[in-house]
Amino acid sequence: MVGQGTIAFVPVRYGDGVVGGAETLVRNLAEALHFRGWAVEILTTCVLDHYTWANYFPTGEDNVRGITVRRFPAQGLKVDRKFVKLARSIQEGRGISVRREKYFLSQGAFSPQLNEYLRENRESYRAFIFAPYLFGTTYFGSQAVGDRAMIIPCLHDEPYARLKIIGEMMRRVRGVLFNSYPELLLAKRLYGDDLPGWVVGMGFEDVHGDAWRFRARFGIEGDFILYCGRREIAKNTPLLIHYFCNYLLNTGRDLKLVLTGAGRVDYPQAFRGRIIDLGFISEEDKRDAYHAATLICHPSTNESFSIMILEGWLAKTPCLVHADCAVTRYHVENAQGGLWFGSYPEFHEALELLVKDKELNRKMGECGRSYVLRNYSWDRVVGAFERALEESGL
Amino acid sequence: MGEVDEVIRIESDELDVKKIMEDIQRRVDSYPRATQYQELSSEELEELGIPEGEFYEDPLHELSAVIQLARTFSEVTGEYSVATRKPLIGPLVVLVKKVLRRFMRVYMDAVFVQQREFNRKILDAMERLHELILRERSMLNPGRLDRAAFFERWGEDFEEVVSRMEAIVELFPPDKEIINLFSGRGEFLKACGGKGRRAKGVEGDERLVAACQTRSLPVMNLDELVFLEKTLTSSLEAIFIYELGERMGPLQLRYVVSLLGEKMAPGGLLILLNHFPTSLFGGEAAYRDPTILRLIHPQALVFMLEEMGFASVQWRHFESGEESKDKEIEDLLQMAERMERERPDLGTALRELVAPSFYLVQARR
Repeated sequence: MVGQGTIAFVPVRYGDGVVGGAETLVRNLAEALHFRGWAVEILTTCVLDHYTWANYFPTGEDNVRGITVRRFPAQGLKVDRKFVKLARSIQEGRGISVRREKYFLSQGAFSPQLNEYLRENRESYRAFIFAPYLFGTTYFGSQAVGDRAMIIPCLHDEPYARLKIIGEMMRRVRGVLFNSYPELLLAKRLYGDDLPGWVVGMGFEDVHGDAWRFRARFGIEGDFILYCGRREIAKNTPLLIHYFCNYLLNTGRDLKLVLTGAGRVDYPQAFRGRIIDLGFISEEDKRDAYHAATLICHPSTNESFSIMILEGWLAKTPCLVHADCAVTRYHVENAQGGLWFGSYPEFHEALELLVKDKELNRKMGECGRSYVLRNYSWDRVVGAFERALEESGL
Repeated sequence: MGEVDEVIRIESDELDVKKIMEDIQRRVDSYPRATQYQELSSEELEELGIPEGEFYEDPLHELSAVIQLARTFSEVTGEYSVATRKPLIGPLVVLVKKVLRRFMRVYMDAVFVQQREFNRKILDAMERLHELILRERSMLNPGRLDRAAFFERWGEDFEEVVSRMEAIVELFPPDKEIINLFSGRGEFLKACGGKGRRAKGVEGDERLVAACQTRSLPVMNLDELVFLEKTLTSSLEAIFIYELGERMGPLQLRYVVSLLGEKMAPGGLLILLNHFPTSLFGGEAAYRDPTILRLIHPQALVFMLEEMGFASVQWRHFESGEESKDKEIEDLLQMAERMERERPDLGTALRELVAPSFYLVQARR
């Protein structure tokens, strides 16, 4: 199938410095296909930062690691009174009309020029892969290309997923590519059993990391918990900090919490020597950090894949995840690569075990690594992607 | 719906995470929550003062935290939210405030433009400083130097090093398994194998591990630091390290020695073999290897080991079979002996110049 038409990926943001799970997933999948000889293009907006949604990259054609990227200006986030009111109604589960749902999506990241390009050039591409689900670029873009659209939704169990137009979009497109089995089950529950869906996910390269290098560069000694990614309420990082501080008070243990990624971190000043916020770090530093960490904690309850815990496992580092997150818990149960918590006492006991029992920590790390190598090789993922395209008739 | 594959589940005879979670749940239920799992609220945590002596372990952490905070506040804007708590006249107050804000915007924005520019420059400067520190630290770190490539091209003859190691193997008690940290190409493991001794190597460099595996030597591909951190406290009984500290900075060395102190069993034997820094031969051998960053004086190592709780720490020159002294060196040593009678400082210096390439440290936990 390689070479039979170009695959266009349509993420909301793309390029160096772009942070986010869905964005990383699209970039890695696009590059994996490109390096295997597929014709791949990226159609996206000029946005870099998902907090401001300001146009950052120049409009027009670019080339990122050999892949053609066409960028179009986004109209930017319009947070007016009506938008805020609608967002609140959706989050509180109060139904709103389809017209208002469309208004809500059109106020977010959306590019009329990109949509125009999609409409005019729909015949030039074999398939359009949109990601993630909750953006104007995905909803209006998938309408523009009709039956050539597929979506990588990165679906979470959240009120936005229950919008009527999202359900309509999921059933309208040619296929939906999920990152994990629990995400597919969630979609079936929300949109019906007949949803055209496949589990594809993302592959991982077994790249070497260096714990020494990380410790030397960032001056970090001893046991530490690592969290990499966006630091925000939606990711439950305030809960992690809250539990971690209480754990230190209860145990007096010499343990640190190292946070990397974007977003503001607030923590009690009494713990300022124990909570280390490194901000945005390079991919190499992140790989090194995975090797140096005692464990990785992913407290989010809404994940569709969780790149962080899979990358951590590659470095033989076990993880601690939230019991209420179907996806991360599914990974942990199947990999035997960590533990989970649903309350502070569970967090306390699970953390004690992972920090104190070094043998258990090592075994869980090794099991996690086997799980990633066996399930998430690029050959396996690209094979699943190819099969999804074939079975959907694209 | 396409065919769906679930993931391949990892089965382990020794691990069952569901069972571990059941045990955790039982333990949680059996302890009184109020005493075992005290949970302060966020407000109570905020009210805790900074404990005396609590500071950032590394000033870089403080710089990093300040940059994150500065980034949050750097965008100054007149677009602040307007609200009031006054129940009846509230809407009127809000309206007045909004009108005032609108009229003031012209003047405020003129100031804010400068402030934003200033903030951006300061933030840029802080970020550059942060980057510079990281770059400097990376240059001091040996992680980037390629040991495997150097050993392959310029390394000492493998068998020669093995024969040097044979004498060291004999120093360990015969019934103990020896852990060889930083096992490199596996010369010590080979020497152990030749003498029928149990030994296990730990090496972080994949290519060196692969080289050991082609020789059927028992080696774990694991970062040496991670191995020590993940090892049970007081569990290691015999450790050998070749060239400890010569490829790392002083802080890393101190950390490794502290981990050795923590992880070695009481009475456990640690043996180190390093280049002797004042020996011409030792210096020449060490500085030929670009992955070696510095030489450690034996007294410095003895001091660090004693600080970390090791007992009966001793060092001595190490002469292996391959270093048979030739006549010229014997003459120099005799000269040093004569000189020591009249000028002890010069005599000692001469003796150290022609000393063997290596020294050996033995320490008991």
